[in-house]
Order: sequence, then C-alpha cells, then structure tokens
Amino acid sequence: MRIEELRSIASRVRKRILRMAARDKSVHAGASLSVTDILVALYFGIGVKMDGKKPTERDWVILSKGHAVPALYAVLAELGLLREEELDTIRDIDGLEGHPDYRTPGVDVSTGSLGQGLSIGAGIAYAMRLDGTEGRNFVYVILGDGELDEGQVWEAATTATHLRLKSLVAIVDVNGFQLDGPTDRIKSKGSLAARWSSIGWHVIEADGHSFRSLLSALEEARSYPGPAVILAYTRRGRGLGLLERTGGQHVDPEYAKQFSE
Amino acid sequence: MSTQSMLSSSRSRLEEIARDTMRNAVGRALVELGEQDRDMVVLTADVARSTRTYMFGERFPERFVNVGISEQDLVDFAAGLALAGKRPWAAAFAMFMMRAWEQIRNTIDRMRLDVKLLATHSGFSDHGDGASHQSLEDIALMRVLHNMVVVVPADSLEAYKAVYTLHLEYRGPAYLRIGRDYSPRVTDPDTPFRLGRANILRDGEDLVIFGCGPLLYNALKAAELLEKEAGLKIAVADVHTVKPLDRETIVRYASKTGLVVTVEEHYPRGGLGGAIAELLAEERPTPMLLIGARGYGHSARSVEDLYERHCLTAECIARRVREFYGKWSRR
Ligand SMILES: Cc1ncc(C[n+]2csc(CCOP(=O)(O)OP(=O)(O)O)c2C)c(N)n1
Repeated sequence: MRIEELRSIASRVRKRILRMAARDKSVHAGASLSVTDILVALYFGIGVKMDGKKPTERDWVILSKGHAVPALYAVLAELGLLREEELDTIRDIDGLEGHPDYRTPGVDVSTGSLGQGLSIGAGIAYAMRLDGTEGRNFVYVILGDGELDEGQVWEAATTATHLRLKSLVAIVDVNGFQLDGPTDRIKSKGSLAARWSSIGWHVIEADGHSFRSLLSALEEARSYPGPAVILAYTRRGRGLGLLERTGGQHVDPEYAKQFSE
Repeated sequence: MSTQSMLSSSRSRLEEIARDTMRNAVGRALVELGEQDRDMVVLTADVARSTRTYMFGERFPERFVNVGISEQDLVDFAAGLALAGKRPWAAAFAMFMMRAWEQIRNTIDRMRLDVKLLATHSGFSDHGDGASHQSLEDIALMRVLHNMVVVVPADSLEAYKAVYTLHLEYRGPAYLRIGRDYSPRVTDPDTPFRLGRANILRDGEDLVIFGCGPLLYNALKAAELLEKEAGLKIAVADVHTVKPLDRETIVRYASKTGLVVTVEEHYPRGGLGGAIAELLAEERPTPMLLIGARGYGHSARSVEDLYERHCLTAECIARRVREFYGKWSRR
C-alpha cells in the first residue's frame, strides 16, 4: 500500500479517535493519537493475518498499553470489523469496553493492567515454535514508555531473549509521557536502547510518525532471527495541537467534537 | 479413555503413588499425561526440582519452560500458551504464585483461560523454611476469583487423581494446591475423585467435620477419639474442591447433624471455613467452629510440630470439637 494511502487511513483513524473522545471525556486520546501511525503501519502497511486454522497459524496483536484502545477500535472500524456507529458506544454500559476485551471482534487479548502483554506475547510466540510456525507468524506487542517501569516487562524481556523467540516483536510507543507527566520526571528511563540491547534484544529505532521509517523497522524486526524491539519515537496527542503541545491525555469532549467530522 | 478407567488400570501403581510424597505424585501424573497430550506444556520459575516438574522437563524438554525467578511472567506466559491453543501447567510455590495474583485475576481468570496453576509447598508443608514460605492465605485469594476452580487434595493419591481430572475433564482456569512431602494416607485407589463432589470419609449424625488437605488425617483421628471418649458419632467429609463447593452434600450434612466444624491448613477467614460459612448462612444457618492456622508459621523440624503449635493435632482438634459440641448441642 502506498504511503499516501496509509496517510489517509491514519487521518480517518484519528478522526474516529476524536469522535470517541467527544463521547466520553475519560477516553485516553493522547495515548491513542501517539500510537495511531504504528497501528496503521502494522495493519495496513505490513498486514496482520487475523485468522488461521490454528491459533498459531495467524498473527497476534497485543495492545499492552490497553488504555489506547480507541486507536485499535478506529483501526478495526477501518477493517470493517466494527461499525462506525459502534464507536459512539465506547464506555456505555452495553457498548465497547474502555480497555481491550477479547470478546470484541478483532481484539486478541484483554489488557488494561499495564506490564503484562510481553509475557503473554512470549507465551504465544513459544506456542508458534512448538507448532512449527515460528518466523512465519508473528506476535506484535505494543507497549508505552511509561509502562516500562513495570518490573514484569523485564522478566518477560529476559525470558524472550533466553528462548530466542523469533516471532516476538515488541513496539514501544516512546511518546515521552506517562500518567503523571513527562516520563523522565516521573522516573528516569536511562537509555532505552541500551537497556533492551544489553539483554539481547535487537533494537530498531524509528520515527513513529513516518510510515517509511515504521515499515522498514517492522520489516527488519520480522526478519531478525530473535526478539526485536522497535523504539518508535512519537508525540502524545499527535495531530491535535492542544494535546501535542502539552503531552496531555484527555480532551474536553466539546473541543474534540470540532475535529471529529 | 475416561479418567476413571485410566486411573483404575493399575492398582499396584496407585498403591505405590499412595506411598509417595505429594509432589512426586503430581510430578508423575504430569509426565504420564504428557505422553498422551502433545499440547501439554509445563512451566516453572526456578523451582523445577522442588515442584518435581523437572520430571516432565527431562522427558519433554521442548514442552518445558523455566522462566527463571519470575512468577508474574510465569503466569502470563502460560496465558499466552493457552490463548495459542496449548494446555499449560504453571508450577511455583503457592506463596510465590500469589505474587502474580493480579495477573491471574486480570489475564487468566478474566479470559477464562485453560491454565492450570500448580501451587506446591502450601500450608505448613514447607516446615523448615518458615513463615516466608508457608502460604496460609492462597485459598482465600484464589476462591474469590469468578471463574477459578480451586482444588485442595487430601493426600498423594488424591493429588494424583486431581491432576488427571483437571487435565482431562475440565477446560478453564484451576488452582491445584498441594503440599510438599507430608501426606498421611486418607484415600484409597477406589475412592472416586469428581470435581465439585465431596467425599464422605466417615459417616455420623452428631456433628460433621468438613476439611481439605492433609489435615483430614487428624480430623479423622479426632473423630475416632471422640467416638471412643464420648460416644459421639462424627461425620468427616473431604471437601477437596473448595470452589465450586459441593453445596448439596454440605447442606445435607449440616441439616442432618446440626453442628459444623471446618479444618484446614490455612486461615479459616476466607478459606474453606469461610466458604462453608457463606454457603450455610444463606442455605442453612448452623453453629460453626472454624479451625485453621492461628497466625504466621515459623520454621520447625516437622509439619507435626507446627500442627502442635497451632492446635491442629488430633487431640487438640478433638478437644476443641468437644467444647463446641458442649456449647451448642441440644442433646
Ligand atoms: C498496572 C497499571 N498501573 C497503573 C495503570 C494506570 N495507567 C493508565 S495509563 C498510565 C500511563 C501509561 O503511560 P505510558 O505507558 O507511557 O503510555 P502512554 O499513555 O504515554 O501512551 C497509567 C499509569 C494501569 N493501567 N495499569
């Protein structure tokens, strides 16, 4: 798919995110807008095989930073798995869940509690090895940079390199913010690249808002014979000036409404 | 082949299992099941020797993963395997598996994944290591989970049957709580093991003792003592499945005897005692005595020494039951 087309998909995805932000002020708009281009590159640039005869004969996407689920719903709407009107039901009592739920079509794994996705992904990648699909099918785990504070991420990271899991691709949405503020003000992250590579991960750095950069990073991660992590540098709230300037997470629904059409 | 026919295929083997330690019995069951089920995977967190899962690892190295000292990773790695169609058993000391309670809750239980949690060294069974290793809260933490099945076998033989049954007859999340070695014999090769069905080990009409785990041995002894000393006819039931409870049997025996005692190697708060109290409060309010640990454990040369300290010996249980009987009996 041409870069131009990816851009227009991303712009539709962002509009849908704001449509959801206009419905409910607690929607994590900032985190959803920063991960948008990553998801679009993955689903529409590389392609995600969402079904298979066996669960190891398909690809898996785990949104470990589950609070960015509006971005995933927006992508699923683009794929036709959710209807546009369904997006308005986000956080309604009978509507779409506020965090990924495996009962929603197209959502592979329930998340919401940070720090767990990489372990789950490693388990799936190991099952692919047992079934002989390792390196053919992939598990993509999308994490936040604040989420890396969780100790479990590093338990999983060392398990993955110890087992040399080829099918495991981690993507960190490095937007520089976490819930209470800029990541380095809350807790220093050190050198992310050095942390991952010191335990044996193949580290690829990418511009998380450039499709050229993201696509080549994803291709490289898929062909690397072991676990690979993409550090995708992004901006919280990308596309919405107010959030981009502040790194904020939530927007006033009335404000969001202007941009969702 | 049904679980029952598979289990009864060799009586001599079962007799041998009955004499073995609890963890060995479980380790052997895992290997035997691994021979038939290519989708079975066993995981542990640097306690392969202690949990006896190394036996599976030696036989099926590719279907065995040791994630190192990472219990949270252990639980979620197992979740990933289950999502991908495998049938994982994750083993750790009960105490340290509780570190991953939130992972168990949010990932395994919420998605109702087919993960079997094998929690060893529970209660006072790890007598030497002391309080840091002796889990007295895990039944409470597991039985509060919506989908979790919780099984606490009485002895090695029952633990062995429980592994078979959980693997062959149930798909979903389960917590199997076993001890380390201590396992005085309570059941026979012919004793049935059905999930959610309590076994009446001894019948009686004056009072009923519901128990789980190796303490059932002392409960039976206490019942014998009380029959001899006071002519009391006490029923003892092995409630190996703490969740879901065998409501029918429990309510029936509460009605029949009018007096209920519970015994477990755990705090009665939130444990089997708590579970039965919740049930009877709604279905058949009955005076109850809840017997269990009285505080943290500590190091000791034997499980029996700890039982003595916590008033869990046959004599101590008998004394407490007799007082309770004296206070409430209408006879
Ligand atoms: C285990 C856990 N702790 C706390 C939270 C609350 N929480 C939600 S989003 C968030 C910040 C996440 O920051 P980051 O990973 O950098 O993602 P971003 O929002 O920047 O995309 C926190 C702490 C949570 N969801 N899970």
